[in-house]
Amino acid sequence: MWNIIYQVVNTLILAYAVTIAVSYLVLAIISMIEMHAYIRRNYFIDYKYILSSPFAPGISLIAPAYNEGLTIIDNVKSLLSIMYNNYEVIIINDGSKDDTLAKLIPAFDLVKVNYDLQYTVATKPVRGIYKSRNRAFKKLTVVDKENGGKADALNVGLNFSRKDLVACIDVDCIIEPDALLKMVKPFLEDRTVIASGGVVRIANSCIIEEGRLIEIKLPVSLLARMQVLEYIRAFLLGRMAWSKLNGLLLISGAFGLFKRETALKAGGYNHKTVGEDMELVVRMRRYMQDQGQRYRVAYIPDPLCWTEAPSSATILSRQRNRWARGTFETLSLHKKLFFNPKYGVMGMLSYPFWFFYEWLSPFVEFIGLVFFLLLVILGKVNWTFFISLTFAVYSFAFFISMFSMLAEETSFFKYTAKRDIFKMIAIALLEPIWFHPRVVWWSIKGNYDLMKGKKSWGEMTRQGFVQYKRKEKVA
Amino acid sequence: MMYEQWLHAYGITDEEKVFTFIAMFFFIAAFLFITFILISRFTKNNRQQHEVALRNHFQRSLNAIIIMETTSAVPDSSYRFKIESLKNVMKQSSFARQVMMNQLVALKKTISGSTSKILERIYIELDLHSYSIRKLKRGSWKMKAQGIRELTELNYTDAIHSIRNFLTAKNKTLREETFLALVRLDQDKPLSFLDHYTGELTPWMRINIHYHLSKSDSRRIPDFSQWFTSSNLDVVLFSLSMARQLRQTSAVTKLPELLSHSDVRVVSLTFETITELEAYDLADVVTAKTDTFWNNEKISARLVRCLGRISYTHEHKQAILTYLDHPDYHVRFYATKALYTLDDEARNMLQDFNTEMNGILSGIINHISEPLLQ
Repeated sequence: MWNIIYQVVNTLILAYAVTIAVSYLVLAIISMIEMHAYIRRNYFIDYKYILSSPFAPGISLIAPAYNEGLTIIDNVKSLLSIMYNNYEVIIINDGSKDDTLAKLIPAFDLVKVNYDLQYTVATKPVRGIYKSRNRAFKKLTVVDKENGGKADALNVGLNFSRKDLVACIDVDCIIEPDALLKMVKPFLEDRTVIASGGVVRIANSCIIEEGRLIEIKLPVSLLARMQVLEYIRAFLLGRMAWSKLNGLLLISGAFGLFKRETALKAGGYNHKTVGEDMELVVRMRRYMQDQGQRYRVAYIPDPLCWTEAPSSATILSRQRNRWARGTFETLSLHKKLFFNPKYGVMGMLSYPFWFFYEWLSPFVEFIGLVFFLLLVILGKVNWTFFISLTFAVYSFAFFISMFSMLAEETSFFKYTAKRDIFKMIAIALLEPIWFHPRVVWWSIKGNYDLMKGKKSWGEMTRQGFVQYKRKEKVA
Repeated sequence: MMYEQWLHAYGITDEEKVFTFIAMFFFIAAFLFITFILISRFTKNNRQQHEVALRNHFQRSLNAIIIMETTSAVPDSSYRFKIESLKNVMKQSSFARQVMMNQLVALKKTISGSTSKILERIYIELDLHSYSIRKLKRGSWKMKAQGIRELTELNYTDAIHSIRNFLTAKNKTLREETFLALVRLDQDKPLSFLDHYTGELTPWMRINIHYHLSKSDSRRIPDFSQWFTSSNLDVVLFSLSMARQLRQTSAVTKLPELLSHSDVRVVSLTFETITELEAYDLADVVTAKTDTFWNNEKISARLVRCLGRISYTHEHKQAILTYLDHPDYHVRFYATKALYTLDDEARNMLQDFNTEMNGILSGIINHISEPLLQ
């Protein structure tokens, strides 16, 4: 009996490991090919044509702000200096308890205006809409509302916007000056595109001056460095492939561009989930599929957005807890997609992949670990088998990390310091042992908290970008 | 054999052999990646340094040649000497030749007038035009597109016939480069390919073509209304957009026909064009369409904005007034705005309606009259 249990559990876990490894490998190869094809095509693109064109579509940059008093002025100034000729910036003050609004009003000479807002998507009430008396800030609108969460704030932005496209961003992210030019291009090349996303990178320890990224550096904090590698793997080796297959389910909430009309018709952001970014993309895709309309969700491998990653385990655990809850909530809300051929690639490939390999994998790993401990207690561990298997798994993890570094090196090549390569190799060697098990634990805890009914975002304390000084060159 | 004996001695099973082999394979692959990254980093740095050195050298020579050409006091032998020395440097490698090409193209983009002509002459003197033409015969689409780009930027019009062959290329980027090349190089009829074009014309293409046309001599810009009756929907939409943007008032007489087009995008764009061209003559035609598009809120919004710009009679304003009752908010908004901004009579009609309807439009009127929201 024991042997049967052993064989079954062993085989299932092995089969799972093999299939997940093959999937990651296939996605990595597709991503690499597609990324280089993008770079080759990009050689011929002159984005300044969009910059000066009267045909460039209008974009509303929607940025919810909650207790961002520390950095809001710099953030807004940075958003107002993005290179694009037809855009507006809409800051949604989501019932901040600090001085976010109080700082914005004098800084940008804001006054309340009589704006006739339509609640196309239901939201918490808006207390006031502010515009600047200074023509230099004509693009800026600040909407003050009762607290309702990020999704609710984004929906207010959707209601307010009159442009064809909306870019939903985190207000404390640093957006590259040419980000909108690059993100809008898929919509210009293909009329069926309903959303596009870009790469989000880690800005910790980078040199930032007045909300602008001046110099890119690897983070000093070990935890943040681990996340750099993680983000490179996820963005460069995963999403590019899904975009090519037209199966992308997730556009980062930090920076995404959407067709406003489609987002509204799909119902706007769902405020009942903490994974509102993924949930909206899935719902927009479902809406288009249900309407029988051709569509595409595009992805740009260019690093366009830089964000502060949590550098303490406490804050990181809250973030990963939320991500795990958000993933399950989205999968649960859209369980109708599961192996449903009516939904094409999304139903037959993307959704099952997310279910089995993104949501389920922490549980499988945890069960594997518990099973191993049981074998140790019972004295039934085959140590040579265990060592060889661990070696194989570890080597694969290291291989994929190196593959992602290769992708980074041969594409956008952001970490140019010579020592960075060796630092990243060290991180890749350490990650499967030190970082990954914690991420697995936080994911499991997130799902447990969801079962207990936890709905909140958790307090995400930010340090704000530190203004690192450049080392002055000695003459 | 010895290896098998060793494995047998340690009791290594087949499964364990497989895992060990897999582990070795991935470690070796990872090591190869690391090696490749290090070599790539090294060669990248070297290449960059070499390129910078070449660019500086070429820039100095080009500056000297341009000065020589613009001040005719310098003897021809000095010019020839400079050209020959550039040729000798370029002969060192195809990399050097490409750096020179890139330098010429970059300079050409920033310079205009007679100096620009000097660069075109240098391009031919250095025989770089042959190098670009050879690229058109290469297998890779990127090479072909690069060749087209170079010939276009350096204004080598003799290459038009060779470039035209790529209008039907499978690769999208190659096709786009071809379009732009023909727009820029064809002096007589830059958009003649639209006559028989059956493919797609994306908004991206429209932006590119508009950019280049707006930079060129206005006499080269065609009358876009000639393509309003094209069987290719993209060509119709493109032509309408361009006629609107370039304010080609000669297109006005052909617009009424397009209001009966089967595609709603054409109809919508036609209303926009009428608005932009301020075609007052068509106010009656537009007014007559109010019933036709009532159920389409997008077109109704365009129509009412159009009437807001070109209305001048009481009947036109009455037509706008009917839209104050439209089920779609945005249509009501634009109708209110149209009447508010037209004239005193229209404003009075609006206020009377609002009073009759117990102030239902007061929110919109307050919004429209807010100075900071203009």
